[in-house]
Amino acid sequence: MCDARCWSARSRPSACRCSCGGANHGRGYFAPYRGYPRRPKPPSVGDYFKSIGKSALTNAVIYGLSAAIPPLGAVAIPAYMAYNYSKLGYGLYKVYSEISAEGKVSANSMKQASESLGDFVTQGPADTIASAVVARATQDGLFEEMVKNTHVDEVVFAEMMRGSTSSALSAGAGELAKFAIVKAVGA
Amino acid sequence: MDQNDFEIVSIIASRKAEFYVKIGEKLLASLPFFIDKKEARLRLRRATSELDNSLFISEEEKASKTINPALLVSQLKLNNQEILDWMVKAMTEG
Repeated sequence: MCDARCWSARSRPSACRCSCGGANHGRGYFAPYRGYPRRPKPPSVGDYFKSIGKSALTNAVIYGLSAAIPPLGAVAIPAYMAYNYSKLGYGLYKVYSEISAEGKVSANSMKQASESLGDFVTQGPADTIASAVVARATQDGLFEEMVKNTHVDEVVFAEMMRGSTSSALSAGAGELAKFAIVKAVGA
Repeated sequence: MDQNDFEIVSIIASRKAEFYVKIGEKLLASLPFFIDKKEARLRLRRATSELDNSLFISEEEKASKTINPALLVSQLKLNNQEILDWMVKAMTEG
């Protein structure tokens, strides 16, 4: 078996007396030796959260829902939304109406959606429409003010709007209509 | 969907964003060096965004049929178990 005497040797490989037979002789301490098993491949993100990362995920979710003091941007979001949900809602509705008036979601808007939201995979009509709405809303700068006031990345708002719009479209008409919004004082 | 629906969607999306910022701060900092942080962040963002909207409306709001945009996620007393189950499923799939 190789050790530092072999790896860091300065003599010729033929002088090697260990099991590598000179293959690793003098190659330096970190030289790979083909005779040993390679370092195990690191687990994928999915595998990690299935096993050792599951408790970290659980703790993070509980923290996310708990009364712990949230990061600055997270605190600023509801404060911003208390006065600006109407503006955002109107903007999104306007975009949605425009897309609906066009009759269908164009290939171009889908391309823009995938560019702005990363490597998401479209899953159905609700997701397709939601992606198109959010892509155009982003293009129109609808989330800029929110980003400026909360310092949360625009891509985060865009992704959350996409998922929420898709969920609302999937749930069907009337699901949200039963709710009224509590108006902030002075709003 | 009408304007009221989109106003509510905006509030729910903002709650998810708040939740994501909090969970991201905790989770991403705890990842070991061998885990691809970019992929973990993308996966976390998608998992959060695709949570069912109804999970981000509190039982109190459902009963009163009103939604308060100024409430923090921590003030909503949401169903931890259902959200957790979804997050674990979404983060481990694929």
